[in-house]
Amino acid sequence: MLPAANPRQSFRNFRAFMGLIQEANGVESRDAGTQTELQIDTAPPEKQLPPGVWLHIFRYLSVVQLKKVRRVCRGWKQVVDGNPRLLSRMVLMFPAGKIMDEHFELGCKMRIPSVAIEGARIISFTSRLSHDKPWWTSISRRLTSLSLDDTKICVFELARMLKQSPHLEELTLVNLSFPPYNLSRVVKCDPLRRMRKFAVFGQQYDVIFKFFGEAFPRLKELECDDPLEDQDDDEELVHYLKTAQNSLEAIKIAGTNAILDTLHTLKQLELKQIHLVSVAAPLKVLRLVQMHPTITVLILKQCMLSNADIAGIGRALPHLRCFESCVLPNPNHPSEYWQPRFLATMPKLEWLAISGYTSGKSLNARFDGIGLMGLRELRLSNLQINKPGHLLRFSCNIFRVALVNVKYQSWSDMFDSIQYDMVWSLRIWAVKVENQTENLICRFRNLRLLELCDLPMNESLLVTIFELTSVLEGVRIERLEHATDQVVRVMVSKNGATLKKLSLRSVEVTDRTADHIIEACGCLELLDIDDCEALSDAAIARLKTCGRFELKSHFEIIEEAAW
Amino acid sequence: MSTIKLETSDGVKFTVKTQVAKCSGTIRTMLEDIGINPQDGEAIPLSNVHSTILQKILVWAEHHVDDPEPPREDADAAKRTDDICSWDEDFLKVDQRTLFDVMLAANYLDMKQLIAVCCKTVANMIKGKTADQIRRTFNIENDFPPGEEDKIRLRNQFCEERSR
Repeated sequence: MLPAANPRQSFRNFRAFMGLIQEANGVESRDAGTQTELQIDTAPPEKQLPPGVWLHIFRYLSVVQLKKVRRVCRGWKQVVDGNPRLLSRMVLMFPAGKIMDEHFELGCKMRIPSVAIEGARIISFTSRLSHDKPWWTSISRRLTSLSLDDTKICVFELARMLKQSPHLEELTLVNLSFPPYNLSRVVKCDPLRRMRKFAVFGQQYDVIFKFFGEAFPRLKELECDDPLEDQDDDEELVHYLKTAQNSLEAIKIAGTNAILDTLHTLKQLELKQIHLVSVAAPLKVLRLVQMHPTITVLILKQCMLSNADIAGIGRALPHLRCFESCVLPNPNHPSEYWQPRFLATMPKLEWLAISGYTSGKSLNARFDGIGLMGLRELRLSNLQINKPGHLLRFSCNIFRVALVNVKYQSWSDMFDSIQYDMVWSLRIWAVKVENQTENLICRFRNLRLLELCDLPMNESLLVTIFELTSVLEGVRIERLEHATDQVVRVMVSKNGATLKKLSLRSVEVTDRTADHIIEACGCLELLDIDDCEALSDAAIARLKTCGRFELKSHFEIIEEAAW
Repeated sequence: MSTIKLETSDGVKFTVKTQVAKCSGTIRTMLEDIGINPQDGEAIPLSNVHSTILQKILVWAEHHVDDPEPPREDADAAKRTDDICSWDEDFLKVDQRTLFDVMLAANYLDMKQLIAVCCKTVANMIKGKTADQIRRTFNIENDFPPGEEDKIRLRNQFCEERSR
């Protein structure tokens, strides 16, 4: 029990306490003090909100909006530039084709902790002659994420760069090219103690692993996609894996025999996520997963499995949340419809991707039976679905659907098969139908992201689809022959209040459409139009100078979420 | 039903249900941790809040007093702003001055849900506008030296959204 407090004393404590709260909330007491003065009504309204409160507000803005906020006034720029959390959502992209030597200048002084360099040539950046701070040392200390893509760099330079970035957590190296050098001269790279994720893609990846020698001490994720499928070249990677086995939790790797055999021998390895590309021996995968009952994510690309094999996987992995595989027809009854019978062994599944690609032919599939209540995301590709069935309908919590290269009887069949009330992300690519029946009764009232690519849909169906939407935030329309002005007009007039990202690729866009987009899309952030032939120069200028949105090519509408 | 008294900066006293007053983290902490006895009959001074604003805030607190705790969000991602309930939307249909005053008071009183809904409202006022329109909306002066804004715009090109 607390002793009864003297009320006066308590109030004094309380006032002191209020001061603390304000400090904790980042509100400077000076600003709080002006509040009483403001009630006499003198200052213009913007002075009323201290920087700490603006920061609260800016947390609700996207990066595109934050970039605009930086241009409003000095105070706002300082708020954005001074907040590591806001900056951590950004990446500093260097323009391609630069030679980065000691004369290179950064141009951007924002303290963004992620940096991506593409198509560059990095030559010694430490100059003894120059009095200026070399560009790399001005950013390296704060870096947590670095990506080098298609870049020419000498390994010694790379070692020097990494040595100066002690806080690095993620490193991505894609298609690096090294000048010829003698590997025996390689200096050991300092262990980067915070490194969590290491990704190496493309040519000379063996050189990179040889260079690094041993894994980073706390490495959790390793991605290495070997495009050559050259099994003899895996020696360096195998060695690297051995040194990483104590900390590694997730791998994305080529499923060669050598790799699968190595993984099998690493007794300390406890994997939670496995992503194998072009699996050489499906049976070895079965053996591997049995050693790792902790797996929650299993992605198998180009790996043909029968229902019985997949059921074996399901029984071995009680915690499986995400699963992807290619499926084979029943070997004993190849003419039978394929059905996802293994689902009963995966009760915790949230994300499922099935591809039916077998020697260039789509697999005949049916989706009968009871669905999974926990299933949230579904991706179907290379299937011919003759009878949509009830499985998808009963999996009533699915909110993200992707249909790629799937054949249905009719559009109605496709749209009827899923409970679209729940779906907020829908990708339909290269879907074909036998007849064009369209009788859309579904509502897309929660649909926020929609990608329609390469579809033989006629204009009236496209109009109908967009008529049924109202809260779309991202739309991609690509290679649709009948995506006319009318279609785009309906889309923007129905969704103008919510649309943030719009990508129109290989679609003829006219002046009228462009003006409609400018008028109707009040909160558009990114716009991609790649076919400007029908646009007048004046309309292009209007799009460019509108100022509310950015013109950018190739951005994601629906991000791949599983990994 | 127990009540407590609050006194605003302009000397107006409010008698408020304790439960409603506890929507304010500041008042809650004071009552629970510092041990002020509400039965003493003395009003708690809220020296930074004007009576017109406190009155408005109490209406909000009364309406939201039984709200469940909101789910925790990813602190680093951009948060949604289109999930303001229609009652709150109507509640915040006020002039900018009042909105800002409510916000400051909510910040002072540590009312996270009210702060969030105010922030969303202001964020929505920023969205879909050019830098110039934003300045006009909030009556902000462009205090950059001439040419500086263009430079910032050029440098902004280097900066993009990070994919996960």
